[in-house]
Amino acid sequence: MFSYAFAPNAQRARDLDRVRHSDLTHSLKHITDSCHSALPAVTAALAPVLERLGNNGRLATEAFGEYYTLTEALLAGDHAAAIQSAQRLSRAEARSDDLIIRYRGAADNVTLDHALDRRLGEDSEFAPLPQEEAPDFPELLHAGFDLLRDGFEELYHETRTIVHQVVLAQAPEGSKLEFDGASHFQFWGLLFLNPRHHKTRLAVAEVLAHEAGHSLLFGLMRDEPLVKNPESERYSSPLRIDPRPMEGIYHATFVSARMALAMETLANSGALTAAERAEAQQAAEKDRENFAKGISTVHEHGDMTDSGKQIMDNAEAWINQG
Amino acid sequence: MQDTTTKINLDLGKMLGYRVVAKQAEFEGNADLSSADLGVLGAKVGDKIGLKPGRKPTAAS
Repeated sequence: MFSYAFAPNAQRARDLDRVRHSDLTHSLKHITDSCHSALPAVTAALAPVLERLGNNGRLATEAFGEYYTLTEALLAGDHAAAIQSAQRLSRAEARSDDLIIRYRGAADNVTLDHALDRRLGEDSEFAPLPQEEAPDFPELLHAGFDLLRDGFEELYHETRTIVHQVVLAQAPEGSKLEFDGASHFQFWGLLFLNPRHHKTRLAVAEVLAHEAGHSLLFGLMRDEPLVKNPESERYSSPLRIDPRPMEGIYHATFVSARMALAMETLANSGALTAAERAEAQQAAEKDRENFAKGISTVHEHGDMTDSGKQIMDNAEAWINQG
Repeated sequence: MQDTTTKINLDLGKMLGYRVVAKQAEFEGNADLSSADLGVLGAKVGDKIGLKPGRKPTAAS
């Protein structure tokens, strides 16, 4: 159904977004039908959101997270929780065409924060970030997007089609490790960013390429996983210090290739200053090294699905031609 | 009166996200997992992929 080509493709991103919403619609319709007799309050609560989706509506990222919360409540037989979840879904905001940038813990992010807490737990790696601690980051984030738009337009459009909400957060106090950025399969359209680790527009552009690469894989992972390896098997990752399941190695390897592509394209675009160009070339070399580490592990231990193999083969082909 | 005890049967193998989990379970030789089990596994699907820790907080960060 989707192209597995390595190069960014905005039309494919639009298709992925459309299909993700279509899949949500069909899944909620199935829930509605299944609850019709035994739990009509869920059916009633979901009716308006199904109508919105049926009219080509697009929903904010928390709606996707809430869908998983609803499903788990139903499977657990917790009807009260299921009704509450369905009611929250019925109030889900329409997705904005503008990029929404909010701070974890801020008053205007309450709904998404609660949805995240329900999925990730309240002790997750993503702690609130007071706006006064990173007041200028939204401007820098926009500068990073502008740089992509000016220097790698297709990647910009692909990223903006998939990523609609950015939550700025930080690691909890006392953490031994901090995150740079993150995304989650269950929150379509969402990116976490830690402003502490992105000080230039080029660094922002690179992390956007990184996280958008993950989101792209989430979108492509519609019917089957990327690898067949059990999650219990752990391997050394090129991008993290903690051992990861093969799916994580796969993701890290792929996004390393995507980051190399972004940095090399920007370096050759004429959109960078001389200093930025040198920085981008250095970053691309590092990204290629990380790809080499990751692909070695994938080749040795990975049991890729058909779709996973096609996607990774295309990434490797691009790396090898450069 | 609302029925509060009837189990709601869902065909997870056709649902967003869960169909991937069901396929993964099949690859691992667990094709017979119940919906409840798939639901538990589904809670982990794509868990925080893209999380890139590994930095230790420094004064310069």
